[in-house]
Amino acid sequence: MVAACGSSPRNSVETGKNPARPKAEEERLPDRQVRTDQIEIVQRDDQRQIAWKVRSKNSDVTLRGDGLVSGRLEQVQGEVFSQNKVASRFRARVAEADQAQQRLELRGEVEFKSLEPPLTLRADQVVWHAQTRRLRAQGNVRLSSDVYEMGPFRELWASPDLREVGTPETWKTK
Amino acid sequence: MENEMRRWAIGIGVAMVGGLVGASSEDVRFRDREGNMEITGLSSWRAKQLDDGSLSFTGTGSPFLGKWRDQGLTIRGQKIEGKAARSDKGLKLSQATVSGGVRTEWVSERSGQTRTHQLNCNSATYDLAQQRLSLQGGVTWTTTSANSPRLMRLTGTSATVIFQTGAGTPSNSIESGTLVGPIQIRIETEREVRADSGKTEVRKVTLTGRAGRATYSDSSRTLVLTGSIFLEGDDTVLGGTVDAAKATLRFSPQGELVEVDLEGSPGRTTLLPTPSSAGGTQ
Repeated sequence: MVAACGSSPRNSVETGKNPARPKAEEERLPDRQVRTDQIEIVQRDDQRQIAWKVRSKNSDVTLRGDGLVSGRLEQVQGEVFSQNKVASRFRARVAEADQAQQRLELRGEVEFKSLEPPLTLRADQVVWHAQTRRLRAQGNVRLSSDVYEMGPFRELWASPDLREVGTPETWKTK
Repeated sequence: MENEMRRWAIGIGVAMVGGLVGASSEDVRFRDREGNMEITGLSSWRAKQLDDGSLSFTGTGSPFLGKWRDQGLTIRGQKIEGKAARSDKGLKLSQATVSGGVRTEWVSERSGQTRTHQLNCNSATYDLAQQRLSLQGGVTWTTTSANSPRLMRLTGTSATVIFQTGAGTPSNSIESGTLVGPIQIRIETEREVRADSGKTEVRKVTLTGRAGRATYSDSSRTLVLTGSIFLEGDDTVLGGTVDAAKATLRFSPQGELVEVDLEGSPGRTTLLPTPSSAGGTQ
């Protein structure tokens, strides 16, 4: 499940909520702290569909014995998926990824771009919320297209393709 | 000790300011890139981009303020649910339901005269395809003319405004605006009249009254009142009081009240301006 780390040109870590387990629980490896120059983490949801991918050229990650990965990644790029298709692409200065929690938190000049329709979301921080499959953007949030722009919001939630956005209370009352 | 207390006071002050800032509602703005549509003062917002390129939205504010430049339309209220469609001039308001202290305002132009219509009510719906604005609850319709003290104010319980359509139609002209009552009427205007001295002077004319229903039309420049009408005028067009079943008030292209036709009890009465004056009565 975990590809080679360290000095390899590219490491890919792909797990879901129920990743393949070691042959026997007693064989579980100890957690390892790894600094890697290039890494890609792929998160799958409960249906084994890709939820998001994140790539970094500089990261400090923990490779857990159960095959899951968490850690801090810098200068990241990636994609958020919807029904196994890319819904939007993102980049940010820093990402905190945690496969066990299915959590992806992006910080610092976060930018999401959807493909269809072409929309751009900018914020100080965006968290991918696995249960609701929504992006929760916080801090100076703005959304724009070639036709309109809106903001700044303290907090704005969005669908992965950015088609639907709303302040938190409008999602809760729906 | 005094310095200590001052530090505490400053600390409490900072905490209070921090609390106020934290509790303040968002002041969010939505606008199109053409500068045609803009909504400000939003405290909550929800929007969805639809497949046809239009946008459905829900917003609240205390109040929000929405402007659609090409439609000459301004709307204030507590909540708006609407749809905006793409056009060559930006986003147009195609549908809206507004509630909570609604103030709708639009500018119409006819015969070179610019008039501002302001309608206040509890709730309103707007439909661009049907060119219809419907208002419910405590409706007040005030029309004012640019660079003039002329004013027409009607109050009623509900109203429906149908805008004119078609090529060459002046922007936002009213095909018909119907108010259902009981209705209170107030019309203020100025008229030039020839005084006994022979000099021309400007007089203020005020007409007040009640009716069951009122229908206004830009194209015919008339206000038709029906249902237990009572009118009271203080000067040239209608002096004194009158009861009638139907009244037709005609306005000049400049918005001046020039004629009142009364039908029913106490009988048909017509008052016209004297030809020798700019606005006397006969």
